[in-house]
Formats: sequence, structure tokens, C-alpha cells
Amino acid sequence: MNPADPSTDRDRLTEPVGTLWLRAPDWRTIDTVARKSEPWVLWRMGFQSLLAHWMDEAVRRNVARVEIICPDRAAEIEAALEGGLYWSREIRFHATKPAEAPPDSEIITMTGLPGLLPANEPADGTALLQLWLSQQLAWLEQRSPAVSVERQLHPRVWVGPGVRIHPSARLTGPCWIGARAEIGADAEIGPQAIIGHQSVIDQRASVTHSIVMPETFVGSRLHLQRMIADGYILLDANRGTRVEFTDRFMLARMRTDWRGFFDKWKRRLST
Amino acid sequence: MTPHDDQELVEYWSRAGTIHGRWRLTFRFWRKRIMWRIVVGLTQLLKRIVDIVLSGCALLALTPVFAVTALLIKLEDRGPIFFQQTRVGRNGRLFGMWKFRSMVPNADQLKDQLLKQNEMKGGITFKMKDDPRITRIGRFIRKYSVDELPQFWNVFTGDMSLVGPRPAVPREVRQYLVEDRLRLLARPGLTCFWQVGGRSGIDFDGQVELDVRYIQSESLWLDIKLLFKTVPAVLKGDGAF
Repeated sequence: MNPADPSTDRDRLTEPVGTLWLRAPDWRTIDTVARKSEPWVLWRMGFQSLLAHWMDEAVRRNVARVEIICPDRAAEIEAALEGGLYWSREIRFHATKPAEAPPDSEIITMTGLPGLLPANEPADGTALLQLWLSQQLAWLEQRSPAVSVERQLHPRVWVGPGVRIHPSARLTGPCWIGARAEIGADAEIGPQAIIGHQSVIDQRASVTHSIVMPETFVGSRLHLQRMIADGYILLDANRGTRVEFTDRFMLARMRTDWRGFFDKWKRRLST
Repeated sequence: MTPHDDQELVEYWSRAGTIHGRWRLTFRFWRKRIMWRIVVGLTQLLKRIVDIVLSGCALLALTPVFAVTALLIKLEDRGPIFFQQTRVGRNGRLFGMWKFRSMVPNADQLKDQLLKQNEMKGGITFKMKDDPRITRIGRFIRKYSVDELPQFWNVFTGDMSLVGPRPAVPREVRQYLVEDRLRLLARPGLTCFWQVGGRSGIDFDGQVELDVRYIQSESLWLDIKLLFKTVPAVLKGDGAF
């Protein structure tokens, strides 16, 4: 286990040195509940993907290069990083462990967030879902009030730019609301809630110990507890279940999924 | 949860079970979604539209200034008129930022010798008073920020915006901390809080803080206010070397 050291010194003049070796775990086979289309390291943890958190960590450790071993969908991961320009670090991808790699003890497996790596790997889909939820809530708990794009309204209540909150909504910390989200009348957010950017929480809905992914509509009087709402998909971490909603007024995706729409019709016309 | 709430919940969901109630709720969702589309779409589009219109007007209106400056630069040492510098744009993407050339043609080679004399606090931004590489015309156009005017072209093509954090050079960005990188989230611009306030007289941590505060409070009205405040700051020529 490699604990993250949040170096708080404002020294920007030391040249980056060394290499950070990372490995992306291949959990394709155990992801039976969430059934996400992207590999584990691209799952969203708070405001960015797990891999982006590790790239931040690479900047914090001031390394010159990041080498990532990803046996699972390496091309997709490479495309998501866009050459690592945002972090201005050199990144190299390997499908398998190359000969020049250091021993396994020096390669960090990205099973969780930097400094929050879980003690043991999940064995099945429910455990994976619980890990996903607990990692995000732990990230929220340990979030430092350092510089961030989100404003801190109250201690540990972060609100992004352009958020509209109804005056009768109740926010309890720690909670984090992404840019341009909308919180309806009498809605209850928190404790421990992450609302993704451009999401809409309708009136009298409540989100506690839960995550709402970006661009999701949470319908009126819906109570989410230890759940992850992602578009029209609701994942229950306690029971390990996945429910797809067909009634849009309960749970829906705000942005039209045109590709999915055309795929559906293509399938209907071809059969 | 009080019994009253319970009763209200039962009423709500039993209404949702009927065909009429379902239609009403679905209609409410669509109304919300259309409003959402307008709000989200406008926040993304409006700034870009304003950028295109205003920078286009500025390019047209400033044609005489461009012509005179170009002529003067050409007359002084027969070197190139424009100077394209690689800067870091939104999300770290690189782009070429246009400027009028205000330094001698081999300025970049001379820079390494001068790096040791860097005066800026924090040491990350390279800027100094009485830089010996600046030409005579260069000093004048820098004082009134005329050398920055070709950047309206960058705004027009979409690499930059009128208001936003100043784009940094890649060498500086390499040294950025995680917190400093937040300023890369916005499209870089011609002017921002710290140009209007202290201009070059502010240290690096302060710049980042102001840029982040700008991103936090991004709105079109704020952009317009900042643009109006930039004009007197430029005309007074304070803070620019």
C-alpha cells in the first residue's frame, strides 16, 4: 500500500523526476451488477475519473513520466486521457507488464483512490458496487477545503458554478454539487451526497449517502439511500441490484442519447 | 417523516399510478428537460457567440491600428511583423497565440541568459522590467497592450475567449501544482480579474486564486463588466511592462 502524501509546499521550481508505475485492474468478469461500458479506472469518482485522480497524484509526487499497464481496454483508457495534456506529464501505455518494469511491489494497482486503496479486492459485482460507492463517499469525507472550482457555501458543502438551489431545499454536509445542477423545492441533499454536474433533483426528492451521476434527472419524492443513480439506471449498493427505469418522471437521463436511440431503431428494423 | 408526509406520499404515488397522473408527471419531466436544454445550451453557446461577434467587430475596427503598427515594426528592423507563441489552452491543449513582435528576432536565444535575473516573485512566470530584448516600437506597443491585439484572431477562431485566465507557456504549466491546473479548465482569455486589478504586479498564487474565483462565478454579465473595466486599465498602461 502506498499512502498518498499531500505535499502542501508551494514549491513549483523543482523539476519533475522519476516514473510512476500504475496498473489498471481487469475487473471485466466481476462487474456483473453495474455492467458499465468502460473499464474500472474510467469510472467516475466524485468530479473526475479514477485515472484522473491518479494523474493528479502523479503531479503531486512531481514525477516526470507515468507508465500504465492496462490489460483491459487499453485503447479506451488512452483515448480518455487525451495524451495527458492537462497534467503535462508523459504517459506510456502497456497491454502487459514490460521487461523494463520494476518489481510488482513498486507498481501501484489502481483499485481505489490515492491514499484510500481498499484492503482487499472485490470478489463479485455487489462488492465492486459497494467499493465504488464507499470510495466516493470516502473521497467526500477527506476532501480538503483547498482551492477548487466549487465554492464552499458552508463547511463541507461544495457548490459548483451556476448551480440553482431552491430556498426551501436542505443541504447537509458533507455534500458536493457539480456545475449547473438544479435542486428543487424541499429537496434533501446530504449528508454524504455527490450530485454530478447538470443534474436535476426534483422537488421533495432526497439524496443521502448516495451518488447522482452527471446529467441525471431524479424525480419528485424519490428517496435515494446508499444508491448510485446513473441516467435511468439505479444501482443499489446494499442489495447489489440494478434497476432500469422506464418511467421518465422517476429517473431519466437529461441529455438525449441519440446513439442509443438510433441503435434501438436499427435493431428493431433489422429483426 | 411525519404522518402527514406519509399521507401525501401515498396520494402522490397513487395519482402517479393512473393514466392521467402519469401523463401529467411525464409532461412535467419534459418541461423540465426542455428548460434544462435551453439553460445548459445557452451557457455554452452564448459566450462563444459574444466572442465571435465582438472579436469580429474589434478586428474590423482596429484595422487602421494594425496597419500602422505593422508598418512601424517593419520599418524598425525589417523583421517579421507577427510572432506566434505556443501557449496552453483549455484542458492543456496547445495553440499558437498571435502577437505583434515587440522583441528582437533572436529573443528566445537571449532568454536563457536572462533567466537568472528573473525578478518575478514565486519564480514561475518569466517577466521582467527593462528587458534589453525589447525594441523601441516594442516598448511603446507593450505599454498600451497593442502587441496583444492580434489575439482577437485567436478569439475569433475559438482557441481563446474575450474573458478568461491568461494562457500560460508550456514550460510554466509543467511546473503547475494540482490546484494551479484548475485554471486550465476554462477557455483562456484576453482579460481576467488580475489584469483589471493589479495587472503584472500580483504574485503567482494570487493569480491562480483570482482565476479560480473567476471560473467559480462565471457569468456573461461578469464578462461584460470585466471587459468594460479592461479598457481604462489598458489606456492608463499601468502594470504592463
